[in-house]
Amino acid sequence: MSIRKLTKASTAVIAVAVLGVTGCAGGQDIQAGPTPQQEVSKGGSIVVAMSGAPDTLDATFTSSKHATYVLPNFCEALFSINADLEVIPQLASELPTISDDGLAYTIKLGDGIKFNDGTDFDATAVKISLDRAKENPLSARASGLKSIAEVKVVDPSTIELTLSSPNAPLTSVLANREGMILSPTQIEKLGDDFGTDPVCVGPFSFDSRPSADRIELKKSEFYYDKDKVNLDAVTFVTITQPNVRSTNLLSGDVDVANDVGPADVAKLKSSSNVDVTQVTSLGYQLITINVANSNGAGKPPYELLDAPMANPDIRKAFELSLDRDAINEVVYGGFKVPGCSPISPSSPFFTQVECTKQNIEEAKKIIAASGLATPIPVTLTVKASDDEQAKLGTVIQSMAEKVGFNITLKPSESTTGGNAAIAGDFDIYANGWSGRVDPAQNIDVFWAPKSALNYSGVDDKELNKVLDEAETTSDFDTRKSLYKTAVERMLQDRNYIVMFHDQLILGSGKNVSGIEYYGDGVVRMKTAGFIE
Amino acid sequence: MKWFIMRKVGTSLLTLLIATMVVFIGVQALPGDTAEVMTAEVTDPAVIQAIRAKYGLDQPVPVQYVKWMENAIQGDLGQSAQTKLSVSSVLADRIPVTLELAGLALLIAVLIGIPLGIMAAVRQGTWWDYASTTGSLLGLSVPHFWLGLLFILAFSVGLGWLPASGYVPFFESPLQNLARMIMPAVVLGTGLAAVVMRQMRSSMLESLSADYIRTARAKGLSERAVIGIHALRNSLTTVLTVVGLQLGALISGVVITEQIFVIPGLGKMTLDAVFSRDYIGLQGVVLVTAAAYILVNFLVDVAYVLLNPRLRLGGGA
Repeated sequence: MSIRKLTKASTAVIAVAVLGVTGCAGGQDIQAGPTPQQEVSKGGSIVVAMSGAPDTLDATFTSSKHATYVLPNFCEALFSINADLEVIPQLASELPTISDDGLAYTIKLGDGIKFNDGTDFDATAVKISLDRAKENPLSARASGLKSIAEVKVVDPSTIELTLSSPNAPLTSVLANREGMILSPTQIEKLGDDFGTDPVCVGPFSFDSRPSADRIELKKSEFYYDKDKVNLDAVTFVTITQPNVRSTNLLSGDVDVANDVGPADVAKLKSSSNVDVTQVTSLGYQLITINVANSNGAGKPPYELLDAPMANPDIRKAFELSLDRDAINEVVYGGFKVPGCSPISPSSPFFTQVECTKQNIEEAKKIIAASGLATPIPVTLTVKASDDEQAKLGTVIQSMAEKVGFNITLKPSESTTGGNAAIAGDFDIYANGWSGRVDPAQNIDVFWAPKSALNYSGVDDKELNKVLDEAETTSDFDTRKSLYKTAVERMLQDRNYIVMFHDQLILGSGKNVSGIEYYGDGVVRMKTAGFIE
Repeated sequence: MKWFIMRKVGTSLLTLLIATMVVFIGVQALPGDTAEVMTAEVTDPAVIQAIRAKYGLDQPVPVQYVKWMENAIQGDLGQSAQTKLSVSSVLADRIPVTLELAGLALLIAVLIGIPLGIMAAVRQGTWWDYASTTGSLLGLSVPHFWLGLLFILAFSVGLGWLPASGYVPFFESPLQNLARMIMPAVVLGTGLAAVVMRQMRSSMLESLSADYIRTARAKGLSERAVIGIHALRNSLTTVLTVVGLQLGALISGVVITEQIFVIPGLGKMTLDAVFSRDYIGLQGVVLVTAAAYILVNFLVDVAYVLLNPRLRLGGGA
C-alpha cells in the first residue's frame, strides 16, 4: 500500500473517530438555486439516492412524498412548475382558459405526444385518467379534484372541465399527481395494479422495480422532447440514513443524493468531487397546539378544550418564549429559513408578515395575568430517533421554562405520534408539511375544519370565509392579498405556530449537470447528464 | 433418532404457528392505524375508509389472521400494503440476499473465532491469549452501525477499494457480488466471531483439563491429535449450541447492516415494514424469519446429537 493511500485511509479513520461531531457550516455558504447547467454529453446512467422509498408508482393511489419526487421523471402532468415555482404548461400546450365564473376550464393539449407504450396521448386518454383519479374509491387524488363535476372531450386535442364551484388552485393541483396522465392501454391491462408497471408520458420510461427501494428507468423512445434527454438510464435507490447517503455520494456509488442532511454538508463541501445545491422548500415545520380536538382531527364539535393551551393568551406567551433564529442556529446549524407563514418565501404568493419575536418579559406578564399556577405543565410530542427533533424539543423546553412553562418531552415514533395527533391525544406537537405549489394546499391541510390533518381542531369562521374567497377567485393579486389577510389572522390565533421553512439540499457529483431542482423537492433528470 | 426428529418437527411447527399469532397480534396492537399510515398525506376520510375495507382492516383481528393463514398455506402471502408488490415474490428475491449475508458472516465468524479460540486456550496466559481476548471484547463492544460506517469511509471513500453499497446477484457477477458483500459480512461476523472465540476458548480449556485428554497424552498421541481430534470434537458441541443461540443476534444485526450497506435483504424489508405499518409485509417477513430460526435450531439439535454419541443412545437431546 502506498504512503498516500495509507494517509488517506488514516485520515478517513480519524475522521470517523469523531463521527459524533456534526458539521455546522451554517446554511448560507452553499450554492443556492437549481444545479448549474453545463454542457453534458449523451449517454450514461445515473444513480440517485433518495431518503425514502415511494409506495406505489401509480399517481392515482400514491400518498408518499418520495413518489412525488420520482414520478415526474416518467409520468408528466398536464402542467408543471418552473424554477420560480410558477405553473407552466407541460402536456397541455398552454395554461387553461378559465371562464369568468370560474366554472369551466378549457385545456388545449400538446400535439404529437405519445405514451411510453406508443399509445397516442389525446383528450380521451386525459379524460380516462382524470375520471379514474376522481372516481376510484381508493384514489388519493379524489379530494384534490373534487371540484370537477365533469370532464368532457371537446375534440382530440381539447378537454373541458366543468366545476361544481370555482376552485382557483385547480391549475396548480393539475401540476401535481392529480394531473399526471396515465396510459389508457396500460390502465385497461392492469387496472388497479397499474403501479407495478406504470406507463405514462415522460423523458424516461419505467423499466423495473426489482425491490421496493430500487426503481430503474430507461430513456423513452416515444418522448416528444427526447432530443433534450441525455441519459440512457436513471436508477432511484433508497438510502434512508442521511450520513450513509452522503457517504455513498462521496465514494461515487451514487451520483446524486437527495435530501442531504445539514450535518453532512460540511463533509460534502470539503470533497473535491461533490457539488451541493440548496433551494427553499415549499414545506414548513410547525408546532401544532391542541385547542379543540377532542373527537378526532377534522371531526366536530370544535369545542375549546379545558387546557391551558386552549387559551389564546397562553399560546401567545408560549410563542413569545421562542427565538426562531436561535433555534435555527442551535438545532439546524442555520439550515432552516425562520418564518411564521405557511406560504414559503419561494412562492410567488409569499408576502412578508411580522413574526412574533422572543420577548420573555411580555410572556411572563401574560402568564401572570392569566392567573394560572406556574409552572404550566405541557407535553410536547416530538419524533423519536430524530436527532434534530430531540434537540428542538430540548431547546423549546429550556426557552419555555423561562416564562413559566414546564414542558415534558414525549418522543414518539412517527406513525404513533401522527395517530395520536389525529386522535387529539396531545398537548403540543412538532410536525411538518412537505409543501405544495398553491397556498391553498399548504393551508387547508391543517386549517380547513374538515381536514383529516386538522390536529388542532381549528374552525375559525372568519378565517374560513377569507380562505374560501381566496380559493374561488382566479385573480392572482386578489388571492395574494387575501392570503396575507388570512395569514395575519392565523398569526393571531396561534393554533398552529409555523416556525421554519426547510432548505432542500441536493448533493451531486461534480461530473453531473442539468438537474432541475426546485422548491417542490422533485429531482428532475430530463436534461441531466455527465459533463463533457 | 427417527422419533427424535419427528418430535422435533412437531414442536417446531407448533412454535412457528404460535410465532405468527404473536406477531400478528403484536402488529395490530402497535399504536397507529395501518390505513392512515398508507394514506399518509391524504386528508379525505372516505379514502382512508376505502383502504381499510379493501385490505380487510375493518374485520376483527381473528378473522384477518385466519384469512391470512389460509392464503399463506397456499403460498400467497398477500400484497404489500405499502408498495402493492406481491409479498411472496419480494421475499423470494430478498431471502437469498440475507442468506448469503448471514452465511458469509457465519463463515467469517467461524473461520476467525474457532482458530483464535483454540490458540487462546492452547496458549493460555501468553500474549496470544491476551490479544485474542482483548480483540473479542472489542468485537463485542463495537456497534455494527459505527463499524460499518468506519469501513465505508476507509475502504470506499478513502481507499476506493470497495463499493459502499448495493447488491449484485452472485450469478450475475461473482466478483461484484463479493466486493459488495465482504464489508457487511465482516461487520456482521465480527460480533459473532467474538462470541465463538470466547466460547471456543472456554470449552477447549475445560476439555484440555479433562481426564481423557491426560489418558490420550499418556497413550503417546501427538499433541495435534489430542487437541485437533479429542479436545476439539468435544468442545465443538458447546460452540455449535452457542452459534445456534446467536442466530437471533445475527438476524437483528442483519437489519442494521443491510440499512448501512443498502442491501435489499430481509432485514431492510423488516424495518421498512415496521415503520410503514405494512402489516402484510411484516407478517411475511416474520413467517420466514421465524421459520429460519426454528429450522436452524432444529438443525443444531440434530447436529448436537450426531456429534455426541451418548445423546444418540439416550434417544435424543
